[in-house]
This record gives sequence, structure tokens and C-alpha cells, in this order.
Amino acid sequence: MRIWTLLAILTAAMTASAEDLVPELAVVEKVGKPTPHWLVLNDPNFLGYLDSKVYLIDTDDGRMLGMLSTGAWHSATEFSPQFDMLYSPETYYSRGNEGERTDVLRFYDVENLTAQGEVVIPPKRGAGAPHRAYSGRSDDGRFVYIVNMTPAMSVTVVDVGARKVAAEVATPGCTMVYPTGDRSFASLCGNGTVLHTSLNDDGTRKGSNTTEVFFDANTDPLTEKADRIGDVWYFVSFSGRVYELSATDSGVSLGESWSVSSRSEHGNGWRPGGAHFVAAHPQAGLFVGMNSQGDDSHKVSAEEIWQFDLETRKRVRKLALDEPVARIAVSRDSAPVLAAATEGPEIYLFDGLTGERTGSLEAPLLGAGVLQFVEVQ
Amino acid sequence: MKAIDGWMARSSRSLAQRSSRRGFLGKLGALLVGAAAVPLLPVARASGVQPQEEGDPNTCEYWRHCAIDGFLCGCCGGSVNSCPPGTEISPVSWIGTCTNPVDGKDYVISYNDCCGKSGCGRCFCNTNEGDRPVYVPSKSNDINWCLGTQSNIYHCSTAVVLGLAQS
Repeated sequence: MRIWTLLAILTAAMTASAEDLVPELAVVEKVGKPTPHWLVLNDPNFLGYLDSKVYLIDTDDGRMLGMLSTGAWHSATEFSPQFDMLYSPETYYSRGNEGERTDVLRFYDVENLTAQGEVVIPPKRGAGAPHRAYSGRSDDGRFVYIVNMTPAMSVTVVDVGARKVAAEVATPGCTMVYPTGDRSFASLCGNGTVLHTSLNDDGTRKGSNTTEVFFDANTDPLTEKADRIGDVWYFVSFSGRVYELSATDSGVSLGESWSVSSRSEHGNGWRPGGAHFVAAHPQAGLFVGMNSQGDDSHKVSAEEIWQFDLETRKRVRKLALDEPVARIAVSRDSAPVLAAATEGPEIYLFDGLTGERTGSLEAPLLGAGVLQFVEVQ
Repeated sequence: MKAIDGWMARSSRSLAQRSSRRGFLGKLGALLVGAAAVPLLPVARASGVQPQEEGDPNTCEYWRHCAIDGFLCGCCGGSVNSCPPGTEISPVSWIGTCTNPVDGKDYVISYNDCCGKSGCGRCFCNTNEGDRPVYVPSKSNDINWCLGTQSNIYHCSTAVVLGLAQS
């Protein structure tokens, strides 16, 4: 008799708690307000690059905020000046790896990370190992530039406001895009010059100028990896010479070049190396990934990151690394974060001003592609 | 002669109406780039004699692979100079200059990509001797060289001996 009483009490208690429980409701998250410490981590997904991806990660707490699926051969992501819209150059085939090819610049709203239309572009965008400079954006946010390589070289100009292709601009013998204002961009040329292309207000080609020959593309080429502070682009050559290119809509001028290594360091094999080894910041200076593997090591990951004062052109410090680093990027704010991606899956985080290691992130297994920090104007 | 002149004039006008100068120049440019990539290389064409070789062609250390960046086709159903079944060989490529350890001579190697299937995923090598940036296309292994093929989806890379390098 007593056991039946106990069971009745327990049953009554369970029924009561079940009635009080509020069932959970599954929802889809939205992305919050961006900060300069958000990282756009482009993932070429090398072993399955028909399904490349873009991760959005908050480096302050390491939280992944969401992801885009970006088709084949995604290199880098452009975004609106307010960081409310992402523009992604992508390639698709009607049957996965074959069939009709369609290249697009896809638009995604940041709040929902959802496609909001696209512009079909000429099906010849350059592809391969990811480079930041395969695309770019005009400073005022109106045009996105996409590099074509067939291997004839040109640039597709997309008017993102009107959502249409404005022009295809030939860049014979020169390629990659380095925006230099609202209506112009620079490209590197195989004959050791820089081509500066100017655009009309409708995005069509206005004209172009070529600098004098200032480097040798065979003996000591500038790498495609570069970073920009204001009107100055910083390029680094295979041997470790820094070239400062001042460039605006009105033209390009070359500053003096200087070396990141002493004669003895160069003799000991120290060279810039990695998939993207240059990052620049107005206060923190210039970061260059370096390895000690000698000539032809320009794609060998960095053993150390060297930090330089851009006023004095002197090395401030060396940042030690547990594992070699393939790619670096620095945030644009006054408390800069330097992100340094290993070959996978770890990304080291440093205080860009002090060089202190502040944490790490987990990247895709095969390592990150192009790293970009968010800029909000 | 007058009839020939008339025919030429009609043909020229017809051609001009059917084509644009820009289109012609574009095609001519592409042709010249393609032509420059292969027949005008500074090489002495092999005359039926293949170089003596040693080493395992399915390793990154194999001498022909001094400037390669990709999956070795020999590990994917092809070989050092053939594409795997069902893929398409790229008509253009980047080139490297590699020293054959057997005879000590430098050879020009054409790294034609095999295309149309997704990445093979086996025997990845990245050696980069003499590799140059993307704006020097003929020497850049960062470029996806599945160009001029039905699909630009990259599967693997060959390493074809074009001939002796001439210094």
C-alpha cells in the first residue's frame, strides 16, 4: 500500500514539472554589429575547392559568427564601406565540375549571411592559389574589380550600386588589382613596371600610365602580396626589399626602397616567405613573415614575423612562432590585432602594438586562405 | 584583276561587318600568348632521344618536379607526361628549368595541368624553383593552368620535358 502511495506522488510531481516546462524554439541567428576585430577568413577548401567558404570570426572571443558557401575558386571577399554587404567572386559549372561555366559576383547581406542577388561576369576570372589582389574595391565602394586571366590579362569592373558589369578593362602584360582611390587601380607588370589604370565615372576605362622600370621580374620580383596604409601600397620583393608606392587617382609615385634584412641575415638565408607575408598598420608598422630557407623559399611558411617602424625603417622586434605561419593580416583600428595563420588549423593572435601573443583561433583543418579584417567606415 | 579586286573588297567589307577590331585583336593576342608559351621557348627540341633519368616520378624530389605546385598525375591514374583517364590536358602551361642529375644538363619542363575533374588529392608537391609571381604567367605555378579547356577545374599536374634549356 505504501509503495502505491509513493508512485502516485512521484507521478503527480513529474506531470506538474512537464506542464511548467516552456519548450525551446529553434531560430536562425543574425549577425550583430561588426567590429574591426572581426576576421573574414577565406577558405579555399583546397581538397574540395568546388565548395570554397568564407568564415566570419570575432577575434576578441574566438567565436565563429557564421559562414558563406562561395562556389569554386573563391580567393578574397570585398565588402561595402559600412560592412553591411559582402561581394564574392565565384565560379560555378552546371554539372559541378563540368558543363556550362558561370562566373558571378555574388552579393550577401551581412546581417543574415544570405545571398541577395548577383551580377554575372565574363567567365574568365583568374584562379589558382588564393591571392588577396585577385579582386579589389574602389575606395568609395561603388566598383568591385575582378582579375581575368585566360592567360590574356584584363579586369572586370562591376558597378555594385547599379548591379551590372560596367566594363572589361585590358591590362596587357600586367595583372592583379591594387585600388588607388575612387576611380583607379594599379597592377604589377612582367616588365618591372606598375600600370595605373584610371576609370570614368561610369566605370569604363579613362586611360592608363606606366611607371618607369623599377624592378627585375626575373632576378628580384615584387610579390603579389601587399598591404596598404592610406595612399601608400607596401610591396616586398623576393630578396626582402620593401617598395613604397604612393598612389592616388591622380597618379603613382615611387618612394625609396629599403631592405628588411641585414647583409648577414640575407647571407644566412633569411627571406620573406609564405602564402601572404605582408601586413601594414599606421601605428604598428610593417609586419613581414620571414624564413631562413634561402632563394626560392618565397612560398615557404614564415619561421618568424619581423615588425618594422615605417618612419625609421628599423626592425622593432621579432615575433616568435610555435609553428611556421603561412598568412598574416592586421586589423585597422587603434588597438590592432595581428592574425597569423599556420598551415592548419591554428591561427595565432598578437597585440599588434606590443607583439605580445594574446590567444589563438581554430582555422579550417587545411589552414586558412586569405585573411581580411573588417573595416567599418 | 578587276574581278579579284572586287571580290577582295566585298570579302573585306563582309569580314569587317562580321567582326570587331577589338575581337580580332583579342583573339590575335590570345594566339600570340599561346604561341609564345610553347613554340618560341628557348629550347632545343628533342630529336627523338629522351633524357636518361633516375628517381621515382611519383615523388616531389624527382628532378622534373623542381618547380611544381600541385598533385602529381602519376599518383592519379596518369603519369609524368600523361593525364588520368577522362581528364583534359591544358594546351597552355607554366614552365620550369630543372637540372637532370644523370647528365647534369638543364631541361625545360612544361607543367601541363589535367582538368575537368576535382582535385586528385594525392601526392601534393610545391617546390617552386624559379617560380615567379602571377604577373609573369609563363613562370608562375600559382595560376590555375586549366585554361583553354572545357572546364577550369584542376585535377593534377604533369611534368613534360620540352627540350634542353639554352643558356
